[in-house]
Amino acid sequence: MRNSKLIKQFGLFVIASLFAINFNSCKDDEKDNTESNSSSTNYTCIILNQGNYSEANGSISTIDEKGNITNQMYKYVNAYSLASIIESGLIDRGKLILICNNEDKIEVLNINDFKTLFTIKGIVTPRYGTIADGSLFVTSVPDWNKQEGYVYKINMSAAKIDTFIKLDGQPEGIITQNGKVVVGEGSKVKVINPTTLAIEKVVKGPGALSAKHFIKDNNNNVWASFVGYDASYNATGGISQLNFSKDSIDNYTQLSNFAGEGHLSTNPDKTEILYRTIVGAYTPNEKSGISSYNIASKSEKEIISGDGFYGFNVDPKNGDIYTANINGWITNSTLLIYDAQGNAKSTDQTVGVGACRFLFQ
Amino acid sequence: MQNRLLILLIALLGSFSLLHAQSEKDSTQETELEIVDVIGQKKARPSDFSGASSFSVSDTSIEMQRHKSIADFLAQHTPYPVRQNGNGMMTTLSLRGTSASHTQVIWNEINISPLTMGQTDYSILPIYFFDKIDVYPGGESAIFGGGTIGGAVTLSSDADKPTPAKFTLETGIGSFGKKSAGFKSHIGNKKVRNKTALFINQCDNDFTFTYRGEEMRQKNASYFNYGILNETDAHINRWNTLGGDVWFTKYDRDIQPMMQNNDDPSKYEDISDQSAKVVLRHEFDKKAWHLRNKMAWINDREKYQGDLIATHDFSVLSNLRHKIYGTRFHTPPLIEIGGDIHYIHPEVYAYKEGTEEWRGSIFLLSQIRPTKRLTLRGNVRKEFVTDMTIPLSFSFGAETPTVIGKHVRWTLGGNLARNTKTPTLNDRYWGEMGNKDLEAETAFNLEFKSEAKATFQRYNIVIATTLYRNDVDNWIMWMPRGIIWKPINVDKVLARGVEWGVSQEFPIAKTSHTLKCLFNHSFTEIQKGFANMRPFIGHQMPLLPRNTFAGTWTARFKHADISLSGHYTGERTSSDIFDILEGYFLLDLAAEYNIVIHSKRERKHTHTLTPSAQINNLLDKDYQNIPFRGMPGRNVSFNIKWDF
Repeated sequence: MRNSKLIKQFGLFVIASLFAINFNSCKDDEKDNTESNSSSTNYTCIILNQGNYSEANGSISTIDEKGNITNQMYKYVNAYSLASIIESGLIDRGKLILICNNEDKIEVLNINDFKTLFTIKGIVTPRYGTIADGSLFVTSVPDWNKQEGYVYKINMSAAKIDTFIKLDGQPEGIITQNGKVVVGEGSKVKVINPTTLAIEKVVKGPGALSAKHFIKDNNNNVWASFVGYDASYNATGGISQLNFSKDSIDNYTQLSNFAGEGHLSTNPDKTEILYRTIVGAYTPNEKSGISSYNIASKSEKEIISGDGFYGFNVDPKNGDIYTANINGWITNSTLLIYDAQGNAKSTDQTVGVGACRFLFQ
Repeated sequence: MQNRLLILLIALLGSFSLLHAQSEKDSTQETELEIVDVIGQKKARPSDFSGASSFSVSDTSIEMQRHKSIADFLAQHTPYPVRQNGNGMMTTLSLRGTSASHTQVIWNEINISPLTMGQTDYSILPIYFFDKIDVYPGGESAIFGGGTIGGAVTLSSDADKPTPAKFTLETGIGSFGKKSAGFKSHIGNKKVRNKTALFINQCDNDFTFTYRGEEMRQKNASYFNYGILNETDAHINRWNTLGGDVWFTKYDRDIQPMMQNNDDPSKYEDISDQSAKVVLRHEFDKKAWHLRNKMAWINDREKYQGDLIATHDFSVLSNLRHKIYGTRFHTPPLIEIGGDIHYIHPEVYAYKEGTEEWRGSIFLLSQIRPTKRLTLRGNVRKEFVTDMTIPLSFSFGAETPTVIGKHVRWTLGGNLARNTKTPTLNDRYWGEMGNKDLEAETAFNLEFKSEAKATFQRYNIVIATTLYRNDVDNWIMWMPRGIIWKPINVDKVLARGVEWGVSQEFPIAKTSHTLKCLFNHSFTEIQKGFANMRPFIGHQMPLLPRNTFAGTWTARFKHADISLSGHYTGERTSSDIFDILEGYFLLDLAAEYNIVIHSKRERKHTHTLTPSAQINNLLDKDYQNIPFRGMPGRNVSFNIKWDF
């Protein structure tokens, strides 16, 4: 009899104590989470954190005018995780457009409050987008083992896919030039009529290098990156101005250690093209950097060197360079902000996983 | 500060419980405890040299829950986090803050962890084959072989147990189109014993889950599994035994897509895993000498989206154990020396043709009890791998069992170990991405344990607390290098924590009850030099909850058994420290009733019919074990078993 009383008392004590431990632990974590999610609407930069493919934990971080960072903005506002990785994004007329993979979707948010306005589904592996003729054009590569892809035209008013064109290569970067859609596809650049989706021009790149991304200079010329890897998987590639009148490239320049994705940006006056570099891709101490190419002098200059850079962008207001050490996608990224000369302004802020796209309004 | 408070609280809990138990001693009829030496009373196993507080699940519990997945089983019987990539999908286990590949799975003394990936998928280990599952956390697990930085899980059969002819047929159905059938036989006499087990499982796995507030039905998650195990032992004379084991399993599965991709067929994938194992055994047992020899061939074949990943592992193992009589020690010292050699031939589409690897090891295990109240253990192992130098592994431990009064036996123990892990075949040979310059991972493990056992008439209580610290150097991780990912040695990871468990057995009226509670608090911290994990400094490693709890209540009546088990997985983060995944508590209920039917002709021949029912996730909790992998709500299964 006495034993059974002992057992009861002991059992209750154990259970109560364990619940107390877990309850206290939860309360502390909730507090941390709330602090990291204090909302702000006056931001200077929107950071798209690509996320880790296996966890689909892409997210949005913002930086306000005081330099405060808010992470997990999407989840905080919409109550659910984005549940995708963010491949790219763009801002158009008060909308933040996220082009996402795994789940494949285009999520359109109100840029003022980050609430979802609508979601477009049905495009397999969407990659990059541009606005032309009031519509969103998105590249898509459904199967990386096949030399084919698509450009979709999306009606942003009706929030639906209008039509698409099938290409005989894998399209990647996309830009609007003089009302036409310019797409990098394999070793070629194609110019597409936004109304009819007819291919109006084909510009051949330098050899087998893949046309990746585009940027415009101060004369509104379009420059394209052409990148690839040599037999030893060392990064190789360069940039070239596109000459649409001759359907050719002008001034192709091979750049040192030009990195695989071929993303480009410019300084505020658009006289220099900035790009990412990688050195020692096969060593444990992979080094990356941001370099610039002066269009007038045709010279290269390294601005920043560091570790783990993936994406980057330049603040058009002041020329500050935003990038991040993505820490191998295994955890959060470390945000890195430098001035135009490469002097560090911020190097110890933590943002989401795979911080790669830095958008400025 | 919070960690210290928590550890203090747990220590107080342990002390309080212990004191509470002791306070009863004067008013009960006493059963005097003795420190007894059990070594040599059972079949020789490397675990005889372990002082770790292992988590052991015997055949009774396995019988009750044989229809569960081994993942659910481990979650309920250990305090360690089990990761499931969906219901019935790939499942891994992490011990004490280490990675899944740091825990090795040992079947009848043979390491069956995959050589390519390194991490064991527990969802393709059929619980139906085994009679005993033990989890040995900590560095001392090197006694089972290399790679046991986190610990080892041992799976064993009781084919060596004398038994009359016994046959079991069973079948079951359950929610989501689950169907299962199995057959087991134990046949034997004094000279020959044989165990055979066959199973077949099928499940549509089309449960419902909630995603963004909407209920969805799971697609592309069905599976079909079958397998056979045969174990035979023959005593060819007084001292020698020959045996052979054959294992074959086939698991064909859809890969459950992430919740957000449930309606997107472009994300549907499937996988097929086949495993064949053949082991020939010889044992010689004469007085103080015991020799075990084994030859094994293990062939694992995985087909993922048409690509083949397979290995052939040919091995020879030999262990010689000697009990040294005639010393002044309290019990005869026990030593065991042995070695093994493996030839590994991979068939992996991404490896260069002609890739092969030799591995081997030699070891010495020892245990001495100089006095009644002191046990000392020392183990050392040296591994050899083609074109690699593997550091020496060792462990040294001591235990001091003390009897307090007539009711309580209190054991204090400690262990210092260095353990190593050879890079996996994928780490070394995967196309351009493999890295032959990798070094072996090494870990220093330090642990202290306190275990109090108290007995008051038929009431037994065991309270165990273990504090541990595990420093891993050269941790191997796959990191992006340009357009490819490559395995590299990162610098240092430190895991530390406390495990606390209470187990009680007691009768009420004519029933017997077992109440077991296990709690684990672990903090796995990133140390200097591991630059890529810098944002995690001061935070727990991703997907590892700080707190886990497992509790099981089992009641045995005359012909009926009831089991209620719950486990809590605490909050954890994804790889993003700001992305917090909710903790969850699951409760399962199982019951079975034994109907004994006596043969009319001969009373000693009885048949037993055992209908059983299980309700899993009794509270219908909506939860995710891994981000965006749906898990089923409340579900049931019914089984009927016929023993004859």
